[in-house]
Amino acid sequence: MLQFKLVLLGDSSVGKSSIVNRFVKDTFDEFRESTIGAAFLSQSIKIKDPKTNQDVIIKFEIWDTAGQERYKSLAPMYYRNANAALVVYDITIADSLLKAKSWVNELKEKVGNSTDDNDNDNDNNNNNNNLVIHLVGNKLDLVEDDPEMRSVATEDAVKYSTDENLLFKEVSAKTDFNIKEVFQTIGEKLYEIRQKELDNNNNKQNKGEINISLPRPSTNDSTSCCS
Amino acid sequence: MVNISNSDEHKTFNNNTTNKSGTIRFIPGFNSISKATPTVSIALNNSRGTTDLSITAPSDIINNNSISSTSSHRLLPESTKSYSSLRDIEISFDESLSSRVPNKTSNGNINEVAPIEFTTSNSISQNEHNSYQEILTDLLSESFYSYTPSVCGMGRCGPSVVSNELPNIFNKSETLLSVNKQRLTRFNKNFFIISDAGKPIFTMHRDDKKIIPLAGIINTIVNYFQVNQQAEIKTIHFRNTGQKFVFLNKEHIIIMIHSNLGESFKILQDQCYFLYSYLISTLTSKSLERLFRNRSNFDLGTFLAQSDIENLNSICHLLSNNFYPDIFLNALQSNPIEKRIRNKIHKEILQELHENRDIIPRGTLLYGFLLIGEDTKMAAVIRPQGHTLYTHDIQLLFCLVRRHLHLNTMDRELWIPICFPKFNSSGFLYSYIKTLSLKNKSVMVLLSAQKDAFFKLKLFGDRLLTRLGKDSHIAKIIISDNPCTGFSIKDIPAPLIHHFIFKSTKNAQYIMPIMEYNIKYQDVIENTVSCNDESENNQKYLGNQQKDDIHFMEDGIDLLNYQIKLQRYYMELHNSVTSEDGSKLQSRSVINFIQWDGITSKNISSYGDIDNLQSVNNRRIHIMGMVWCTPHFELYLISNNGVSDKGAISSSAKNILRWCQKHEQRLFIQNGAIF
Repeated sequence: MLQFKLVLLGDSSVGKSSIVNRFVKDTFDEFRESTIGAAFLSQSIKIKDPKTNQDVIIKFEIWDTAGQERYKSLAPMYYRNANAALVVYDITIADSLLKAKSWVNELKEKVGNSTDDNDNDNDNNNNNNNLVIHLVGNKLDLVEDDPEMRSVATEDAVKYSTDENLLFKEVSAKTDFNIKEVFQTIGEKLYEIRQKELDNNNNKQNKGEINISLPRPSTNDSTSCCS
Repeated sequence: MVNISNSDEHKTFNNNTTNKSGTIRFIPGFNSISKATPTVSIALNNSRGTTDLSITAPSDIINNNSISSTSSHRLLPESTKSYSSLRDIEISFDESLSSRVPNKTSNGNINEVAPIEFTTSNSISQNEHNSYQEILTDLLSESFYSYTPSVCGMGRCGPSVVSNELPNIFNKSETLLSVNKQRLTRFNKNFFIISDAGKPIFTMHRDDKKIIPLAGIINTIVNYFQVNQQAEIKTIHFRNTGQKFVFLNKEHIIIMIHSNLGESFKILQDQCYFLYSYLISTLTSKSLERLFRNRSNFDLGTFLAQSDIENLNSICHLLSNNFYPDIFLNALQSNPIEKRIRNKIHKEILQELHENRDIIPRGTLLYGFLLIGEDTKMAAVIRPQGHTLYTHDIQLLFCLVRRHLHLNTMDRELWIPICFPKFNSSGFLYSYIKTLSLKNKSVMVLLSAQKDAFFKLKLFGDRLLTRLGKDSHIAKIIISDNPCTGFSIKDIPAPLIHHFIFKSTKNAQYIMPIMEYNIKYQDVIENTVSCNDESENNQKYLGNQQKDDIHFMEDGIDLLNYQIKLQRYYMELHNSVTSEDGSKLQSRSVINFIQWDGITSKNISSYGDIDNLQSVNNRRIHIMGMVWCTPHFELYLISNNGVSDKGAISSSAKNILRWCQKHEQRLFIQNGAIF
């Protein structure tokens, strides 16, 4: 089983926790109370290996962060070792896309560049390239009910995502539209990257170089009964 | 009673703030709004040493009947400490609460309640720790206690039945059900937080239109005393209605609580301070200072996150609609666990900690708790040698845990920064919170000073749980499927006692039996239907009651109403042995009885209230309460309905005391796992 770390970022009340809840528990709570600090959850999905067509289980370890500005100083702790980031905005609130863009910038700037948090081999730069960022526009259900409510045009977000090389989807945590797909896409992408890494390592080894690839520090305790 | 707020702190604070600018500030927009709503106006004229403070307020703001009688009010600026006015309004400030005489029967709306008699004694000496029984007997034989009405109440026609339903002798309107959400005054208690520039930050019962002028009034009143008296206003008391307004003016933040519920000023002040502490716990005093330093008109209300508002709301509900004795006792509730098992838990924790020194090196884990139940009863404590956290700080943490439990999120492990105002008001600690069981609401909380210690604590927590889970006795307690943990009043040989609270002063912990508010519910109905020859209407009514029974159990309204009633009874008991400013009336030891007598009147139509059953079955109320405070313990108890015999109550009290002392190690956490 492969484990990946995923962090949710975005302005407050854009629906980060609702997206996670839909993904992990397949429930939706209309009057969800806001997250304090950050919440840690995990959920596994199945993907197909494109070459062998076998099922692979991927476990996401998810940081659902509070969107408030005040906790911003804590954010690096959550995205520092992340493999993927889900940056969420609310398609009915234009400002929330600006906030999402600033998160994307911060991620591109910070992740992988810091040297203190990784093993001392020189693979650090890989992290930067390998962070999968998925932009998500939530609350599609509101727009379906009333098209007037839309404040962020799909095309704008698509264009931005293409420019920045991000994955993008509009979703609704309430109606469960596209939620599973988002995580599925991220999972497949991460798996692809991981396979490439392995291939690279194999090539290096074939050339006679020895590179012991340590897995990312696992948070899951091997002795725990519930893993 | 231990004073939560540090008096030294108050003094320093006063020195800092009394020399504020000499003008009364109105927030921009306040005037225009008050013009737009002509019912609100406030005028302060200061000419030649006489000041008229005239408040004309609409019924929306302060209860109609109370303010109309005191619409104009003359204050002499040079007079000393406390103003006792022409009418029954009392404003006190600058910590000068001493001149007030406690008025024990001032609850204007009590239904036919006999005067509450009030007796105290200070004759317990400390060295007689072992012979409480004799002392109590002696005390009881003193003539103080033979004053008939204090024992029997006024009406001796008496009930023939002793019932362990807990009727409500207090003002009916305080049950949740009758609350009309349209008007602010309908609330018996409300909480206001404003900035010292007069900007509203938070109100419990939110009504944005009305809050702005109210914030202006609060700010003006506070500033009036600062400017003219160089003093801090503390309280305003409307004697004829029992309404109290309590103020806390901290730097940049003003907190006011309005209450009709009969708490003493000290308790309300502690509650003000608790709200202030919440703000510190979420922001730290450092960043609060920073936010206001540059702009005194900073809008903290919009800066606060939605989660802060939700947290403040849940704290306010806890302080007004729930039974939450932690604050007035200044103690934490302990979860009784067999001594052997508790020791085992602590031993296992230490062992696990020792084995995992590589994962969590010294200094990573600061403190830890295992909590059980919705009311966060402590089952185990992990703490370092020589350090304890302040009760006040832990109460803030537990409030957060309560809310987390309320969210019912088993699969989410939380990592929450929290500042402990008493421990270090300028920095955050980080708390790892994991729900262990949704059934019995058990939670593990681990605290660290390092913001990236989450995975270390998580790993340790997971291993600890695995270890504890191996012991079937421990597992049964911490991850049991039984939602009710604790003990029942039936476990204790204390006849006629409905409920009690026992606080061990040494441990700063208290225990109480689980709430059994619906006990004998069915019996009462059967009795009534079969032997009572009441009108048809009542029978119909009872029929409906029975049908709705399950519904009530589900939505918990009964429980809330029950909690409010308990809160009121205990509040009166507590008030009877403390003066308004919170000091004990007698320095060392006090025993006091209160007899509540009354008749539940049938015309009170409080939907679904158990009291209505009571009114059919047994309309007279005779409840006796007793409070017994010594340097070592505090015991508060409430009798069943129909009891007015002090001898029986005191012998039950002695039994409770004996039981608590005998099982002390089981009931309270003595040391915890000390590393």
